[in-house]
Amino acid sequence: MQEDYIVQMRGIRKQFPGVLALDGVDLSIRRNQIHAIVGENGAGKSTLMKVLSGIYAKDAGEILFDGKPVVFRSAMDARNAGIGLVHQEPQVVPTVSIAENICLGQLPHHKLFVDRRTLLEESARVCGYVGITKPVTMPAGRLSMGEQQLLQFARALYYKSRLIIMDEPTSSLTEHEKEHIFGIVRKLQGEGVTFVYITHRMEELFELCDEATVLKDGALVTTVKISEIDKKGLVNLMVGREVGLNFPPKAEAAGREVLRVENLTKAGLFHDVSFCVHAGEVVGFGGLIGAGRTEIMDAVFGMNPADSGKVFMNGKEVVVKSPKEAIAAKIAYVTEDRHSGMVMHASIRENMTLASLKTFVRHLFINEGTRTQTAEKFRKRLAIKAPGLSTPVDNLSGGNQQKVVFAKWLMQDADLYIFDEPTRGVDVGAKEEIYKLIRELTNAGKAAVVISSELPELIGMSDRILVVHNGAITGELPYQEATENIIIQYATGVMKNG
Amino acid sequence: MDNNACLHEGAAAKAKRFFSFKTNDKLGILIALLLLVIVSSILSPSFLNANNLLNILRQNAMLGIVLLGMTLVIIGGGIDLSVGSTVAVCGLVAGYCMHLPFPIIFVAVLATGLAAGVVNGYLIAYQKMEPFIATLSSQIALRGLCLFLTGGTYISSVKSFSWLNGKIGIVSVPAILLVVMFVVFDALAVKTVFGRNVFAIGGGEVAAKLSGIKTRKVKMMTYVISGGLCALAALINVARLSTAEPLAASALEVDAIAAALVGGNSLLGGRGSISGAFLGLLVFAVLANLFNLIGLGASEQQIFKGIIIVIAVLISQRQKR
Repeated sequence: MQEDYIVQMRGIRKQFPGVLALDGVDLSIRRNQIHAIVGENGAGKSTLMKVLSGIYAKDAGEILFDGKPVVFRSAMDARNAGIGLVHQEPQVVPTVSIAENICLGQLPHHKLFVDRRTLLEESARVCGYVGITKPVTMPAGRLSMGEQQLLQFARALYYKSRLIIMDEPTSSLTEHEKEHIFGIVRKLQGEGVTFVYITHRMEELFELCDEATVLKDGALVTTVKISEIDKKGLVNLMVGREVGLNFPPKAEAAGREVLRVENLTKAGLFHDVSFCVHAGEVVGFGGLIGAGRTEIMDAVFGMNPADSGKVFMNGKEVVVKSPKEAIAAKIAYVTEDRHSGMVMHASIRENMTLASLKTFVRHLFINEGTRTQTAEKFRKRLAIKAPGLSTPVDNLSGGNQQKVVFAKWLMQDADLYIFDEPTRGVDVGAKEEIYKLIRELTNAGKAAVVISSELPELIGMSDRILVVHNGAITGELPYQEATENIIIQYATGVMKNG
Repeated sequence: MDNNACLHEGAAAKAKRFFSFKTNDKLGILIALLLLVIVSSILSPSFLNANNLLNILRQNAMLGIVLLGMTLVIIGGGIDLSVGSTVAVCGLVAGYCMHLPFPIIFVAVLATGLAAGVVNGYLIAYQKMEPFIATLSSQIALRGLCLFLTGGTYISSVKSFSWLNGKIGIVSVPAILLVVMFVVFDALAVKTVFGRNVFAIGGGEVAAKLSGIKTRKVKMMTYVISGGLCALAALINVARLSTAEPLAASALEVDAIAAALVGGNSLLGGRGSISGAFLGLLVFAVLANLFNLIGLGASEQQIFKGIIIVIAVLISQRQKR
């Protein structure tokens, strides 16, 4: 029997410096279906779709579109062939009108001149279809997030796309906006359009999709019909990789309470978040990217204060309106993006001592001797591999850069350390050193919070794991009970106990 | 269904307001210009004299033509600090070629200006250099080239194409050129695919690129156009002064940027208009003229210029909120 596929990808391989992102992936998408691509963070979903849509060049493999081999050299090639993209972050030029944004890259024109009438009529037509009610002459920057997302659909319509790839289009939308978009997707499906839907959200997937392809670590796991599998079965396909990292031993017993958070809420980001962290304990925060973990910690540290709720440090309530109060309350925060925590062209010594310069001041001036000694002490303690203290941090590897950031916060002598994705972009050896450092801190009576999207790391590091889904804590697990499977079920909203 | 019909009906009416949000941006500067004109005509009876008004246009033709390219570059999210030096080099080329037939002078001068633009554009669009750094380097190097070529002296009696500074009826040629070029470039920015793509790149380069706009090519073109306009400005300047000098058009980029900013263009790119820049030019031109008529010097003018830029940008930032 001849199967009717709109896209067939065979043996797709894509190498990035240091990472094999796609390792011989096959993908076949049936015409007029909604095909989900699922997998953990970093499984290669977005990369595969960027190859399909011409944004990335593949290193090996072939793509058949409508049964014919195609080579897309740019996003424009793919678009002209009928492939439209709905990006997770709306790709919109805020200063330019809605109409021009819809037709961006292919303005209707006679010779050199823009055909204004067609531009306005066409964009009004597609806007009407997707339900954008604002005048098309308005700058697109005045549209809400949801409307900008709709604009991307309008653009795909304008280009008469026959295959629309959606990369987590609902991640920043309200329930109402999400339902509206699903309505449009179904309407278009009825008119013969095919969809690829990258998502983390199981409910949405089972609501909308016909088939799902599972990726893991850049390789194809399988493609299944949604009607033939349940949520748990699909989650099982997504997890279960072996990593083989060594983790330091767990805490024997937790001490006094260091941090307590009560009903922390910020509209649109997280709600009713309550938890506590004890001395000597590592509390892991699991969940999908965008679930709200970082936002919760940003609020605890005062970078982006919550709307309501209470934060207690060492039993006393603290009002954190800015990082200044948080630091005074002995909270340290190692952010997800190392680069924002460092002056890249400055030396190791400068970076380490940046936040604690005051402690080196004697008679108005900075005592360079003690400053250097202290920096050297921490360099040795953290085993930072570098030619010297004066080496600029941008010459260091990711792992060593992370250690410099650690040193900066260790000098502060806080009671609570928050680490957001502390091992991202760090090789395996350095990861183990970082685990050890965090454990040394808690063994010395400090408390630690670790946000991690890597499940083996989360389970291996933590004494207790809290799972966040859609801005709320959905699960709490002691490490003995935590498995990747259970965490994913909490993280995708399949299971709830919070 | 109703919704759709409504949108269609509205389309024609909207066609008229296609550029409406830009006229709003310009309202402030238009009012400022009118006030200035009223004050000027009260303070100095000779201000509203036709000759005086045409003279204002003539005197600002060089700056105005350079301003066109500058505005285009700024809308595209860049900046061109090399315009003054480029005008000077082009002027010298015109001086060296003065005994040749005018078409040859024209081609030689234009080629010089375009070449400067190509170098800037290549460094910025294809080598990803910061526009500020790339064009600052050309500014310095080209000015040095001028001094090197001339040994610091003038080329005088360049009169072979002084008709460029002549008059048709009572209107001088540079004034006509200036107005015609502004109309052409306003259409280029507003009505052509190229112009709209410049706006898109300035407002969001990644989105523009993902939409298939050839961002590098378009960016490069803005600098090439700027270089070409410098060539034209140089011819007008040399024709007016009958002299080609190595230090001509010093700090011209400052005046051009100032006029563009006062005209509602944003250094962040993606916002602004050629017509706004023209109004910006007129504000400074009228102010200078007024100061001359009432006998105030260049230093006072400069103080006012600085203050005007600050006020204009503060107002336009407030409007955007």
